[in-house]
Amino acid sequence: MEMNEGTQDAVTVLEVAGRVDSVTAPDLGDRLTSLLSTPQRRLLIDFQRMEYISSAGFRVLFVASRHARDNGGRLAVCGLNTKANELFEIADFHKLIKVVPTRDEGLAALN
Amino acid sequence: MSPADYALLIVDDNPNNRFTLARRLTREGYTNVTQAENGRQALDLIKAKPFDLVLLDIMMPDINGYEVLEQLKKDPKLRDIPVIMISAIDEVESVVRCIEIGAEDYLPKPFNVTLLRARVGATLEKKRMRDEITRHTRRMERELATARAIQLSMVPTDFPTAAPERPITLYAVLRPAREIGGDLYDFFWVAPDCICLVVADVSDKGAPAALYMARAKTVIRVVATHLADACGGAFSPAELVSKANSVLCQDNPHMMFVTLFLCLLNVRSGELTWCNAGHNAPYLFSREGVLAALGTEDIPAGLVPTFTYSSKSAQFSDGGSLFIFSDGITEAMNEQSELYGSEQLEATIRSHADSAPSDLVAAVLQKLQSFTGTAAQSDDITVLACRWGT
Repeated sequence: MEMNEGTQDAVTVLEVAGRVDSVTAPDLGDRLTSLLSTPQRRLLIDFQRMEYISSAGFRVLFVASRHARDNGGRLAVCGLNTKANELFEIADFHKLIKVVPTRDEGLAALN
Repeated sequence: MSPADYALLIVDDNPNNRFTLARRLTREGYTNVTQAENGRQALDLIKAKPFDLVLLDIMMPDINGYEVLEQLKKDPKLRDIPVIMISAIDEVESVVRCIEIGAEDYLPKPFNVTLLRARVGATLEKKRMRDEITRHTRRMERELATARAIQLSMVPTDFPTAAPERPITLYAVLRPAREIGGDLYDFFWVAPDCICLVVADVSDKGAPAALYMARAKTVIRVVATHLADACGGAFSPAELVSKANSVLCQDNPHMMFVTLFLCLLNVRSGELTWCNAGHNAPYLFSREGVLAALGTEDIPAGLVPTFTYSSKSAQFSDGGSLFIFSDGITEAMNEQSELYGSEQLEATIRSHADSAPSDLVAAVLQKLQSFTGTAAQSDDITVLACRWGT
């Protein structure tokens, strides 16, 4: 798994590439915790280049989502592939995290 | 550890060499030094008590250094004792041969104090770390083996068999991907004619998942017992899952969650009520192989304490079955990283629709095995099959 951080339209964008599984998810979790410790952070996680996400990955997204809320921030996820979207739908995770198809829609949702 | 804690053995047929080396080692603090004057004596000493390091001369009468080294490396109990060869400065080829057999390092004669200190120190430090890793690994293995036994004993295996007043047969298998995992199945009677069946899958794998699995299993059972006592079995799966969910959300800062399918089966009428919290849709099917998937849009348990779950109902046909499974089946991969998927699973179920639950489960696992081949099992696998009627 690789992570790249940038800023676009006053939104922090974290690009996540590769596999987010039980081995790599803790690294993503640490990064999200550190980013969201800043109050009122607006964070978009871009999964455009992500190959796979397991339930361990979903778990760190939920922790991040609560963390964002507690610190007055906002979180959205974009670029999920078909397979990951399917998992989101089976477990109805859309009820818990803002998911949009593209980065532009993500930036718009957070602005 | 201080140098005095290490047991060293010097093997040399030349008494002057032994004396010089022992004295130098003692000066470096290695006070626990034993001496052997030939290969035979050395092997006897090594077999009698453990040494941390052997300093071994190559050229000795009778059993020479090569042979001692070969014997040590052949013996699984002695293989890990590090050996430093002692050699004359012009014996490079002999030293190379010893390193190939498995010697750790070598020391040229006459002895140089700095080289002696560095090589003995480095070899002993390496051995200490290796011992530490071995001890740690053994402890983990033992703990995990016990944890696995405990986890597997947490799921019931006294499967009910068909009786005229309870015409159901049931079979289930739980296979954690690692030593322990986050899948679970359960079944228990909530009223004389009503059995509750559960299959659940906790987020993540290994120890974190296993702890939450134990919690989820207990919470579901306790809440079910409460509800059964309070309303004599007349409660819905959604009530049970909603209450269990609110308990599972408490003290859950890591947002562990569990997808679960929980159903109540009236064994007299074959009526099934069920609740699906984000779990793969199980299949309800007739003995002719007509399949229905039991999915809903409810979220997994453990995440939103106030979430209201919904119940649905269905009817078993006579001789029909229910097949509940975790995504360890459909997400299993072969060596080419292809997913097993639901189509192959459905095909197996259709072709075994009239089989006993144990035969159906065996067929599914066998088909899955022939698909995955030698690829490692990456996720926990759970299957539960229940057949109702005559």
